[in-house]
Amino acid sequence: MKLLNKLIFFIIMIFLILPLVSMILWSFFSSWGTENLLPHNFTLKGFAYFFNSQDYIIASKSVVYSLLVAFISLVLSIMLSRFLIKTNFKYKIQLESLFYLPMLLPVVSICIGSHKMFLQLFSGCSGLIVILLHIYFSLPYSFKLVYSCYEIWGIEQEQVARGLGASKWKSFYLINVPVYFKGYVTGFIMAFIISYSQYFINFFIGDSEFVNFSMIMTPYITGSDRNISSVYTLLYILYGIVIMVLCSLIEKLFNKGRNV
Amino acid sequence: MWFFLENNKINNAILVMPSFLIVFSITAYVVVNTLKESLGLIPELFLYEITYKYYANLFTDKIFVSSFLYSIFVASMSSSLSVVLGTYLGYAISKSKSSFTNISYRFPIFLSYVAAAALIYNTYSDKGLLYHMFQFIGIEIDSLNIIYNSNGLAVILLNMFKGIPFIAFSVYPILLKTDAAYKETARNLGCTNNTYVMKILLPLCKKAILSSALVIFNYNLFVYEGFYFLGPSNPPSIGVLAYNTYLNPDMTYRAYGMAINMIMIAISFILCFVYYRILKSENEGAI
Amino acid sequence: MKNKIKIIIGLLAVIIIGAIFINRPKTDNTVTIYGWGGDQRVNEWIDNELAPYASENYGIEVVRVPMNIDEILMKLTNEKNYNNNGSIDVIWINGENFYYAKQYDLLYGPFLNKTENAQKYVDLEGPEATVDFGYSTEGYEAPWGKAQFVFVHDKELLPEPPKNSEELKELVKNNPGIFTYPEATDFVGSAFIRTVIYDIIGYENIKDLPADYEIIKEAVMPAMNYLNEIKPYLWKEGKTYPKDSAQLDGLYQDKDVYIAMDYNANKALSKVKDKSWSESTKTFVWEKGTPFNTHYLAIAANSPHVENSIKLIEAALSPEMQISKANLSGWGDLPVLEYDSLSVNEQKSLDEALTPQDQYKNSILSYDELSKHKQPELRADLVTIIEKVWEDVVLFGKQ
Repeated sequence: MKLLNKLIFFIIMIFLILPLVSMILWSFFSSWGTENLLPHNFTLKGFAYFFNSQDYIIASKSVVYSLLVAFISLVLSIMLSRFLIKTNFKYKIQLESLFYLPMLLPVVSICIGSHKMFLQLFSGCSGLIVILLHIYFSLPYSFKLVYSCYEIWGIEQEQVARGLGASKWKSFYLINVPVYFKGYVTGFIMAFIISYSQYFINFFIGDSEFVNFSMIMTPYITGSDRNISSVYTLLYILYGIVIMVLCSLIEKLFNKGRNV
Repeated sequence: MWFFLENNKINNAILVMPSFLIVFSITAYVVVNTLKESLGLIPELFLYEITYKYYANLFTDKIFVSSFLYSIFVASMSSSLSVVLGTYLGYAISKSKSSFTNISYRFPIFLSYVAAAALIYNTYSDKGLLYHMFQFIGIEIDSLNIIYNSNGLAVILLNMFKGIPFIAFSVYPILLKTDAAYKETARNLGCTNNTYVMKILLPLCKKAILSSALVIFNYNLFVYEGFYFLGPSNPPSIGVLAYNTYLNPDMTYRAYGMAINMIMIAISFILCFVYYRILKSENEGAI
Repeated sequence: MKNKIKIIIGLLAVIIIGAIFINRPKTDNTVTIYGWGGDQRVNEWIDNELAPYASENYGIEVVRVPMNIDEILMKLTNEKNYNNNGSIDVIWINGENFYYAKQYDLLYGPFLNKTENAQKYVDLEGPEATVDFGYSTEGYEAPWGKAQFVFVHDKELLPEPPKNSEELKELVKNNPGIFTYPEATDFVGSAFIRTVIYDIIGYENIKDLPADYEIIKEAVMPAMNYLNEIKPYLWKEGKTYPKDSAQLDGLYQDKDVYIAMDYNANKALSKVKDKSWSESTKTFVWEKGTPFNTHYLAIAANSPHVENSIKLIEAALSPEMQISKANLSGWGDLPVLEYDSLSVNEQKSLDEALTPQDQYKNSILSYDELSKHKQPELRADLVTIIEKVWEDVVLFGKQ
C-alpha cells in the first residue's frame, strides 16, 4: 500500500516536472531532429537576444510592479478580513461571495467590458486603470487565504490587548502579525503570482509604459521559434523564483527566535 | 464606550470601502455593458436598436451548442481529475520533508496559461520530449496523437498541469496545521488511517477544495488559450469561439461575441451562487 | 531584531515605489508604434535600426509596443467616443483590418500627400499606394513593405514540389499525411485558400463579385470541393488544422509535414541559417500565381502625436531605412520605393542587400522569379466571406 502511494506521488511529480525539463532543454538547443536521441546545436542566442534588447529591464519592472500590486492586495484583504470577522450583519455571506466573483469571471470579458468605463473616468491615466484591474484579479486570491486564517484564529487576543490599554497599531503589530505572518506571506505570494501572470490586461489596456513581461513573452511563445519561447519562459520562471526565495527568507528572518 | 462604538462604525466602513468599491463597480459595469452590447446597442459601430437576434442565432447554431457541450465535458473531466490528484499531492507534500518537492510543485502556478500550453505542446507533441524519451528507451512510437486529439486530451493534460499544483497549494497549508497530535488522538479513539483521512482531514479542507474546484472548472470552461493551441479545430471550445468572434475585424460580429460573453458571465454568476450556498450551509453549523 | 525587519521593509518600499515612478518621462518627442510582435527579426530591426535613425534624423523617440492587430482595433473602437488622447500613434496594418478600421473612422488622414519621402520615392499613383486589398486607401495609410505568399519544401524529403492544385492532389493521395494548411482565420491559411481559388477558378472571375455570402459561396464551390476532396489525405486526416502559421512551422520543423508556407520568404532563410530548419529547404510558388500584397503604416485617429507619427513614417520610407529593412540577414522585407527613383549608389546597396550569401543562393527564389508569379489580392470584404465559407463548408461540413 505504501509502495503504491509512493508510486502515485512519483508519477504526479514527474508529470509536473516533465514540461519544465523540456523547457530547459529547448532553451539551450535550437534543433532536435526526430532521428537524434539528443538535441543538437547548442546556442545561447535566445539569452543574447533577451539581454540585448532591453527586455530584461522590462522584466525587472514587471516584477516590481507585481510586487506593488500584491502588497496593495494584501493590505486590502487584511482590511476586508478584519471587517468581516468583527461584524456580523445580515449580508455577511453575500459580501463574502461577492469577493469570490473576480476569481470566476474571465479576464478577457472583464477587460473588454470595463474598458469604456475606465476611459470615461480616468481618460489620461492608463496606469491607474491597469493597476486597478490587476488588483481586481489578485484580491480574491489573497483574501481567500488571509480570511481562512482569520476564521481559524480570530482577533480575540488583539481585543484583549486593546482592552488592557495597548494602542491599535501596537496590538496589531505585536500580536496579530506574528501569528498570521505565514498566512500573510502566502497570500502575498499568491497575489503576486496572479498579477505576474496577467498578460491580457497589459496587452489590451496598457500603453507603452506598462509593458509587462508576460505580455512581451506571449507573441514569442505563440511563434514558431522554440528556442526563444523556451528561453523567455525559463527566465520568466526564474524571475518569479527569486521573489519566492526572498519571501521565504523574510519569513525565516521573522521567525528567528520565535517558537511558532 | 460610546466612542468605541462610533469609532468602530466609521472604522469598519473605511476598512471595507476600497475593496468593495473596486470589485462591485467593475463587476456591475461589466455586466450592464455586456448585456447592453449583446442586445445590439453599440453606438461606436452605428448600431442603435435592441434586438434579441444575436441570442436567437446562437442557440439555434449547432456549432455553438456542440462546442458548449464539448467545453463542459473537457472542463469537468479535467477539474475532477485535478481535484482528486491535487488533494492527494497536497497531502503527500504536507507529510514529506523534502524541500525540493515542496518548491518544485509550485512552478506550474507561476506560468501563465499560454506559457503552460506551449510547454505541454513541446512535451507531448508527436515529436516532442515524450517521443524522444520513448526513443531513448528503445520503443518506437509512430504517432503519439495526444495534441489535437478530438477528445481534447492535451487540453485536459494542460488543465491538470496547472490545476493540480493550484489545488495542492490551497490544501497544503490546512493539512500542515494538523499535526501529529490530531492523528494520535484519532488513533486513540479507534480511527484507522483511511478513516482518519476521509472523515477528519477532508472535511477540514472542504471549503478550500470546493472553492478551488469551482475556480478551476470555470477557468477551464472559458479560457481560450489552451484550446487555441492544443485543441482540435472541430469542435472548437466556447472560449475560442468567443475570442474569434469578438476580435474579428468585421465588427458586426462583435455583438455575437458580447452575447457569448454574457452567457459566460451568467454561468460564472451561477457558480458563484453555488459557492454562496456552500458557505451558507457551512455557516449554519458554526457558532 | 525588530528594527532590522523595519529597515528591510522600509528599503524595499522605497525601491518599489521609486522603480515604479522613475519611468522614462513622456516628452513630446515620443512616438509609439503598435504592431504584431511575434517575429524577433522585425522587433530587432525596429529597435536597433529604425529607432536610432529616427532619433538622429528627426529627433523623435520611437517606442515599440507589441500587440495583435485585432486587439489594437478593438481598443481603438472602445476609445473612439471617449478618449481624445489615445495611446496608439502609428499602426502596422493592412488588408481587411485596414478596411474595417477606415470604415469605422478609427484612422487619421489623409496624410500620405504630406509625406515628403513618399512623394519623392513612392509611386503615389501606383497600385501599392492607392489600393489595399481591392479598396482605395485614399491616403490614410502609407505603404511600408511588400510580401509575396510563398511555399517552402524540404528538397530531401520531397524532391519535386507541386506547382498547382492538380499536382498537390496527386501528391497527397500518394503520400497521405505530409501536407496541411492553417485554418482560414489565420492570415497565411486564408492566403493558401485564395491561392487554390486563383488556381482553380482564376483571379479575374472572382474579383468583381458582390460581397454577398451566397453568391461567393456558389462561385468558390469548385475550390471548396477540391479542399474537401483532399481532406482525408491531409495531416491527421484533415480532422484538425493548425491554428496558425507558427504551428505549421513547428510541424515542418519536426518533419511531420514536408511543406510550409508564409508571406515572408526570408523567414525560411533565417531559419535555415540558425539551423532550426533543415538545410535542404527551398521556396517555391504556384504557376498560376500566389497573392502578393503590401503592408502599411497608418495613424490612429486619436493619436496625441500626429506630427511625430508623420515624421516616423518619413523615416520608415527613407531609402536608407528601406534598404536596411530589405537586408536578408535581418528582416528581409521588400522595399516599396521605386527602383528608378533611387540614386545609383542606393540602387547598388539595395541589390546587395537583396542577394543572399552564396551558400544559401539556392534556398530562396530571387525577387524576379517571384514577381513572375504574383497576383493581386482580392477585396477585403470578399476575403472575410471566403474565410467564413471555408469554415462552414470544409471545416464544419455544412452544405
